[in-house]
Amino acid sequence: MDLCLTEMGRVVNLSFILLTLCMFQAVSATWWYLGILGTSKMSSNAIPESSNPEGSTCDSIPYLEPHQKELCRKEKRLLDVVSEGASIGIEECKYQFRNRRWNCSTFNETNVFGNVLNIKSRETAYIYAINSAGVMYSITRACARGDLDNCGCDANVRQRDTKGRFEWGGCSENVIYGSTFSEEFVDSKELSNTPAGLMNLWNNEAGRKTAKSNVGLVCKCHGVSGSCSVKICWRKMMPFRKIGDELKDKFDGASLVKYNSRKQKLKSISRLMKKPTKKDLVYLENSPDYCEYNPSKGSLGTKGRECNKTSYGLDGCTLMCCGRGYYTIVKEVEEDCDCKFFWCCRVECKKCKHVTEMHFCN
Amino acid sequence: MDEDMLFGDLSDFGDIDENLLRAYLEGDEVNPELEELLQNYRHDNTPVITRVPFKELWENCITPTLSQTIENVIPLLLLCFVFKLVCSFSKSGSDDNDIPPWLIHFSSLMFGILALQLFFQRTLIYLLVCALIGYFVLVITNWRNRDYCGIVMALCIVGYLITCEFVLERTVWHSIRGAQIILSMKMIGIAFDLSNGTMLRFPNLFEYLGYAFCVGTVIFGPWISFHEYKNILNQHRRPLSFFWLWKVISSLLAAMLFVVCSTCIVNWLILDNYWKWFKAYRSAQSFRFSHYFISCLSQVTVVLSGLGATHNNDDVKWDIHVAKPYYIELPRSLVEVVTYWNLPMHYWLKTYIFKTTKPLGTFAAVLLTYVASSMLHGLNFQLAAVLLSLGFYTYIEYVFRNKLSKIFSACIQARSCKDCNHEYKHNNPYVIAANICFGILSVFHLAYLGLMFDSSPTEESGYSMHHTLDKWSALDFSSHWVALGTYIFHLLI
Repeated sequence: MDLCLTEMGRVVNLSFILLTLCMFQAVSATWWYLGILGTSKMSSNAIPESSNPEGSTCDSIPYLEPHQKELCRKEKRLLDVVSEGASIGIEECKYQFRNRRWNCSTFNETNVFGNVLNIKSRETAYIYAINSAGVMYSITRACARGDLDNCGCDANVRQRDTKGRFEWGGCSENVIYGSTFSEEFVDSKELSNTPAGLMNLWNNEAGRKTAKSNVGLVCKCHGVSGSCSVKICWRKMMPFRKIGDELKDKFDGASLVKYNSRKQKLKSISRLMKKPTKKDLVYLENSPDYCEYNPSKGSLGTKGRECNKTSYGLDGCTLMCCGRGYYTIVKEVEEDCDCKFFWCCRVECKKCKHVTEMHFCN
Repeated sequence: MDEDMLFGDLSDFGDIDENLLRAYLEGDEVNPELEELLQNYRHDNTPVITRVPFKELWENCITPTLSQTIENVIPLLLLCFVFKLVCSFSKSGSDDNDIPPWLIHFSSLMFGILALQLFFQRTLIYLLVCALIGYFVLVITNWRNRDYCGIVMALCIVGYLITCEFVLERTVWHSIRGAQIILSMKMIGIAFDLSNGTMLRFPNLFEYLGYAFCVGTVIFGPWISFHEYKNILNQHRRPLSFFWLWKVISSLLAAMLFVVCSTCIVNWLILDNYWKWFKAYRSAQSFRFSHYFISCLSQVTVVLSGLGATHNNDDVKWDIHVAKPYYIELPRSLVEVVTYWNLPMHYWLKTYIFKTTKPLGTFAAVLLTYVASSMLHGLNFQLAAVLLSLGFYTYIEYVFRNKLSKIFSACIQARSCKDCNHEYKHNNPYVIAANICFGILSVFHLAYLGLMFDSSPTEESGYSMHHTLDKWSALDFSSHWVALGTYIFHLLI
């Protein structure tokens, strides 16, 4: 009897440890890796034909969740679209944070952003939001181009009932499809009863809402003396940079929240703080100081980063180098200058030499 | 309360004195150095604005615009054409087979209600109620004293419009406002015709309702007189001919061109990072093209129904023109712009409002005309402001240019004068130069006045006073100052 109990106890312990390890594993393997793989495809506008046979591709990818694999099987070209979405998300993140201490550095691992994801900070919030927005943006664009089977401007799709008085011309159902599909794909791996899961779900939704408001329909009224008898609507695709800028503003104003374990919901830190809207980003922990190299916190440190001597902002040498000082490298650069076009068809440039200073942090 | 949790995100500002920053954020202390430092934290967020390639404009804007417009408009055009065919059967030769007139009027009413249902669904009830109340008022005033028909009807309509403005929901009212204007003009027209004695026989209910809801004019206009409407019974004198088809097709093509320009091209040509006066011109231009689109569309509907022609002996000329863009885009003066903006409405205002109020003096008559026009357009601050400004501008321009033309004896009046006895005729280079200068001034005024009709969130519910004043103050009310300056100059010379 006693032996049985201790044996059972050991089994329980072991399974508990395994479970924890599994959960830990779940954080690190994500679909964002598709973005790293697919970065080379970003340059071309059209989605190339998938060279792999359909069903096996989806199952063979280890970093997709089961539900994501199921969605992948439904849509033939989904992998390409999602990888395009992930890469524009990653690229936008790198662009927005290029002048800050943490510059959205990525690694060639399956969790792409490294240990910064372990801390539920504002940076993590931005990562989730921008990637979710990127996927929605690319799915919507792919629908408009006709790359996906289940949405787009086909006749049998347009027979669906349109809500509202005015008939939308063009393909507005793409936005709805993009939003729901992105939600299903991206949110499928988040558990809604953990603080991290809730935070990620919130930030994903914030990303999608921002993308939706920027991938929008613009309408114009026509009528006698400016009344609105006829309303004409058309699509205006905002560049993704605008979504990135908007989310960056939300990042600057992100709300610190805490997890209410009784109600299993997030709530603001204090009553005095404004309740975050669905479009705002939320975070649970303060960000670490990204000055020093601290791999467990995902910080690469700012040693060796290039800084701007004349700027007062975070990309200036004072702040970027965290007071450690900087060293200057003086380089002589040879560039093309005074380029002239000769008929036909060559361009001849002279070579100019000038001296530039580049500053790097200690 | 743990204060560190409130300002938990201060870790980014590495070496700033946290107490000083907190004091600044709480508003206690103002430190100019700190302000300057914080100023530099703001990123330069000017987005790069480029013109989208034409192919993308074609796919995303022009094609959906054209397809939506055609989808919306084809049912209405079909209804108009079928109505014309029905009317053609009214006199088929021998008198025995004539369709009784009341049936034609009734079919006009039915087609009109069908068209209204297509565009406005249930809100057409407000138009029906207005028409029925109007008929009731007509009958009563006709019975008591025919001379007061016009005034009483005008007052009733104004009362109805004010009630609608306040009682109805904004989007609903803004969408049927166009049809309501046309209906009001028709009703007031009938009433004044009765008072002046132009119309001798009191219209029966069928005639009245058929006129009020005639399918060719109910949604987009134009206003036609009752006398012209009665030509639906004479469609045998207006057979389907090549000129009729040509008028329809050319107006339809022009309408499509205008809608594409208004919705897509204008915003594509002038981008958001141009000088603010170009942007003002762009908004005004988009609004004007939208108006030309509606005008051309109304021409199509009215000609398709078999109305809008003049008879010269036995010759039928389908010569109805609602707006003449040439005179508005390259204007000679604001007076001409106002005339050619909507020719039927101009005629209506001149005949029914101006002539009635002329005994009160010219200035009062002009002012009352513009007040009546803005009342018709609904108690909308924006439109009223634009119209009243236009009223003052046209008056100032008219008297100023009159005075100048008398002084210099040149043809630089507000309206072009062909057989005048001025010394410098209209082909004199100085006269041409002066007219061009006045034309540029008119373009400037038009850009200023039209700029608020842009695509903003309040477009569907009518623009508010705040929106109007905002836009105008962005341009420092310059147009108003210029007009005032012109008037003072006029008084001095």
